[in-house]
Amino acid sequence: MGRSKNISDHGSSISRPERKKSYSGGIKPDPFKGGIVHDLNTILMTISGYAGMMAEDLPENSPFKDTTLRIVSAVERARSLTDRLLASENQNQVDKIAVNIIDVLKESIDFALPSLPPGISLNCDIPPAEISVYAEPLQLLRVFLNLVTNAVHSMEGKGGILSVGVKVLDKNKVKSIIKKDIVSEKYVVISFSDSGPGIDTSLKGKIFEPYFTTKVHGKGTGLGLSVVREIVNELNGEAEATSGKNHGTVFDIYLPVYKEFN
Amino acid sequence: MSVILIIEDDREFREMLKTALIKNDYNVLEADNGKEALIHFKPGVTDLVITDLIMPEEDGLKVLIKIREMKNSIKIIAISGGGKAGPGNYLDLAKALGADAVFSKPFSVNDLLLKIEDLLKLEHSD
Repeated sequence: MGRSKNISDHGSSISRPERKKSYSGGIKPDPFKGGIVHDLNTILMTISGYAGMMAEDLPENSPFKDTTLRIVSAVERARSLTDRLLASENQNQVDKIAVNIIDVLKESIDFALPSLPPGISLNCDIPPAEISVYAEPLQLLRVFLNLVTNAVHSMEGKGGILSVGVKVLDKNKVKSIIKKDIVSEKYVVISFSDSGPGIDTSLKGKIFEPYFTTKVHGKGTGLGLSVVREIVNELNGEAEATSGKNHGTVFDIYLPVYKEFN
Repeated sequence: MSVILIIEDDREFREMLKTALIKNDYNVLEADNGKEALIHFKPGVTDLVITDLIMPEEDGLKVLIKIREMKNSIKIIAISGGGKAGPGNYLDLAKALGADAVFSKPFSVNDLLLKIEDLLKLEHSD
């Protein structure tokens, strides 16, 4: 029979105490259905795994054999329920609400500020307004954090300025910029500019493609910006990039305004 | 005897997998998050890695890429609870990023054991 040890133990057989989960860096489980389904499936798997092993170990004539197989069967039924939950989540994707984009943007900046490397300064031009968009706040937070991280990575080691700005444009102006159906009278544009080395114009068309990255091998998966565009498109908006070699990069996020108060 | 590293933050689930693997004569190393796994990963010792994809500290996709960089020939199985933490299917991404097999929880432990056996045979014939 095999044996086991915790990878961080060095010859010690003392169990390590349970650590409190901080979720500081990895993918955060969705607090809504997706996250619940994930945790529930893990628990179901634990139950069915143990029950399956018990059923295998019990002699054929054991009165508990049938009982353990019933546990496995009950888990199967529960699994079909989690599949249905997930299917309904896929239909709705996320729970959208009217959300003030200014609040989410400020929250993203507060979140990113402590981890800005030395030499990179932040220049914010965010109006004290309430501009509502119809979105899921966590998805917006993810978009903004991805863009801040992307800008910071482009200036890493050299320093520079990250500028964040917000403006509202009329639909006629937006129509000439984004190639998408116009669904609102007004659009809010959130811009993230960096003073990094920029991206060669020949690569501009690839910026939002999955797995495309200009970072050195192992420094990025090339998924961040494709996720940004996927989320923004899902909100009937568009993500645009303007860049030139040695001229920095500007990412503009266009989202239809749900309601605006000045 | 082959050595399998389990990276999984759910202690109960990890214990269950460990029990199944030990019963099938594998030696097991375990880590409760990706960051810890990467710090202590020993390419020369580990034959196969089973990693969850949604974890604290360091997500499973990054772990997958980094472990593959440390030992290109290693066999990697990615598992996930099926819930979505954002757009895109993480198991599909894991496969695209080089996982040799993917399993969506809850799966049959026997299916996992058969896949491990297949992958280790392949590794030893490489």
